[in-house]
Formats: sequence, C-alpha cells, structure tokens
Amino acid sequence: MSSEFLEPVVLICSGIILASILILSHLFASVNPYHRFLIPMFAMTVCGYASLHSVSVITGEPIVFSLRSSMSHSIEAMLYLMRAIIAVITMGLLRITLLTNRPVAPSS
Amino acid sequence: MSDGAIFWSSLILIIFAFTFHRMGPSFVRSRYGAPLSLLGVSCLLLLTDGLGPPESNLKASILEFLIWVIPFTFGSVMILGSAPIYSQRNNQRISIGWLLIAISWAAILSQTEKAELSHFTYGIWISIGLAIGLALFFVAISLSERLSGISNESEPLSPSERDLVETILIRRMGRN
Repeated sequence: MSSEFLEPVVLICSGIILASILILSHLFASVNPYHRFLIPMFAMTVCGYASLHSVSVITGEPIVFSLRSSMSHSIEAMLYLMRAIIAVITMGLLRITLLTNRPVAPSS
Repeated sequence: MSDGAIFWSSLILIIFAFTFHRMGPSFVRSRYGAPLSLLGVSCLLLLTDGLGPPESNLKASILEFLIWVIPFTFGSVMILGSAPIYSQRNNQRISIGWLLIAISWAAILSQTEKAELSHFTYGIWISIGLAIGLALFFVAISLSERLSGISNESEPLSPSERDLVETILIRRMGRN
C-alpha cells in the first residue's frame, strides 16, 4: 500500500491510542462502588491495543517505541491545533468586548 | 527511574489529578486533585532534562504551549470578568486582558515560523482518531448500562447521611 494512504491510518490509530490512554486513566482514577467500568475498560483496552499493533506493523517499530512515538505525535499535533481553537476564542472575546453596556438580567 | 519514565508518569499523574478534581466534593479524593497536578507539572518540567526523542520534541511543544496559553488564559478571564455581559464594563481590566492576549498572540506568531500546515493536517487526522475512540467509549458505556439492568430501589438514608444532607441544605439556603 502507498505511504500516502498509510500515513492517515497511522495518525488515526495514534488518535485512538491517545483516546484509549486518556479514558483508561480516567476510568482507573474514578473507580467507585457505583461505577460500571468493566465493559468500557475492556473495550478501550482492546481498541487501544489493536490500534497500537496496527501502528507497530505499519511503521515496523517495536511496540513500546510505537506507543511512545504515537502518543508524542498525537499530543504535539493537538497542541498545534489549539492555535486554531484559540483564534475562535479570540473572536468571541472581541465580540463581547465590543458589546454596549447591557448587563444580562435574569428573565422572570 | 529513567527520564522517559518520569515524563510519562508525570503526564498520567496530571490526568489522574484532573479526574480526581472533577469527581467533586462527595469523593474524598477530589481534594488531592490540585496538589497532584502541581506535583505532575513540577516533575514534568524539573526532572526531565535528559530526554531523548520522541519525548524531547513533545516536551519542547508543551513548553511552547505553556508560554502562550498562560497569558491567554489570564487575559480571557480578565476580559470575561470585565466585559458588559453580567456586570458593568471595566475598561482598565479589559485593556490589561487584551494586552495579555496580544502578548500570547505575539508568542504564537513567533512560534508559527517553525510550524507548518502539515502539523494542522496531522491534528485533524488525530482528532478523527480521538472522535472514533470516544465514540467506542460511549458505545461501551451504553452496552454496560443496557446489560446491567434496572437495579433495586435504593436504601433510605442513614441517620448520619440525613444529618449531612440537612446540614448542607441549611448552609446553602441560609446564604440566600
């Protein structure tokens, strides 16, 4: 398969790995007696591992290096994407700054 | 412990701290959120000097991110608190807020010389992966809820729980 096709697959798998790690950490940290976490934990472990295995096979790197590399690239890319989100927030702040003195009162 | 292990442990610790904090006051662990977060950030910044790739690039990106996100956050909070949405306009605070946002944009633009369009494209592909992961999580939650069935009627409150609820209500209603 061509590398143009494989690169997005690796990136999407990296996103799934990042989501799995975040969700699994969240599930471990929020365990409590009212929490039905076994099925979500199993699902996220399976999909995270499947994505990690795919990345490892496609890139030809060992699995631990694939994990470190895909997590690093995912977080880095999300931090870059934050600049676009910040641009949208700046527009919102500009809009509320230009509002006239019109406090919002609770409607009865 | 190697620098790489400290780096990843610190990131996991920050996620744990965020989750602890978001669990709310009914769980004792919520009070550990802020100190754990501080510990995670301190370890991430101070104990990871000898990192190799790929963690070194990520650490550099996190530092670049912190340089502009801190003034941006303070500026946004100042503008939101002083804009004429919920209260009277405070032009002095709004000006300081915009100065902070201008500083953060200057930092962003100075870093953008190094950034390429491909970084944003990568971000979009990775966002698709994140969305797929989250969708799978919601499917798993829905399946878990469906399989667990309807639980029995909950037990009435114990005397100590009743006292606690009463105290909270009196405290809250007393304020109004």
